[in-house]
Amino acid sequence: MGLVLDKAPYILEMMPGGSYVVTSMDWVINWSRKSSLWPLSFGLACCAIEWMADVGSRNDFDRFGVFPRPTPRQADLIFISGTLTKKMASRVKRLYEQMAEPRYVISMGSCANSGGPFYDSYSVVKGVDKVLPVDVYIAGCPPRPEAVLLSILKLQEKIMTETISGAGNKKR
Amino acid sequence: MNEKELLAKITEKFPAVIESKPAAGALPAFNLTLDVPAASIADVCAWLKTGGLKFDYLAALSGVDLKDKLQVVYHLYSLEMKHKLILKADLDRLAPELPSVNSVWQAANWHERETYDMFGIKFNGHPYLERILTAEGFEGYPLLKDFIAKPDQYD
Repeated sequence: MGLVLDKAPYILEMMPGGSYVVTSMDWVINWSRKSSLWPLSFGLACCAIEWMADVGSRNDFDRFGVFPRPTPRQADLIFISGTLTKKMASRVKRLYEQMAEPRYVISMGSCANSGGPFYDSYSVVKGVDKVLPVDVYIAGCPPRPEAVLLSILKLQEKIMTETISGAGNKKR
Repeated sequence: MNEKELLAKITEKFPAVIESKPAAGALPAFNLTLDVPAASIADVCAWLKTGGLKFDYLAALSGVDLKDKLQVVYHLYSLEMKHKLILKADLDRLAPELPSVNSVWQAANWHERETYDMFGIKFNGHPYLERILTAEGFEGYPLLKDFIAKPDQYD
């Protein structure tokens, strides 16, 4: 995959009509990525309980190909679901670094977005974006399952705008 | 055993222990509350456990910052005799230290570490008095009223 994604766009774009191939490949690659977003089975606080409800049969994330994985090495997506303490921050960063690229982060709930009610605390990170690059933020305390579903759809929209050609290839 | 009998038995053995009066305007405690001199807390606790009153359960051990002094509060319960007791030990705010009750109740181990972590109260005789909750390299004692958090890379 590395050769195809890293070298092929440059070679193809030099050929007449090569951009056609690149954009078609973009569509296929992005479609396959967005259709099987595997999140890490990971939770921090009460938002994690809400997240479990999303994985469960009533809200059923599996409809969108969202299927929790028990190891970061198989995961594309990590939900930061809950209060991130300073003590936990380095551990979460390590989990993120163990995930294979391309990888995405969804910040779930007020605590993960900004520290929330613990903003003035001595032990809470004021937003997970101090530690990880966040793709989608979900508001709420905790967010409703529908909001979490929407975050998946928003992330899918975002993934569909990615391209393997040089300029747009920064994300990976 | 009712509270009066309990109080009589304890004060007979330890005359320095007195019944705690609630502060002005405060609600009275639900259980018998005693003020214990900090230096004798381990002796009092050891006797309470083994000396016939059978306080075999340390329900909680916590700290309080009362601005002019620090306080350690012990909530005791007897599983066998079903009576409860609260002990309070006042400490000097500048050099807060008192004997550990870890040798009496093993449960005190982490409680005392947490109280040390949050208030800086030193428990003499504790086997491993290190910070338990705050992150590595944390400075200061966060539950003291005059604590000011130092901003770091996560603020």
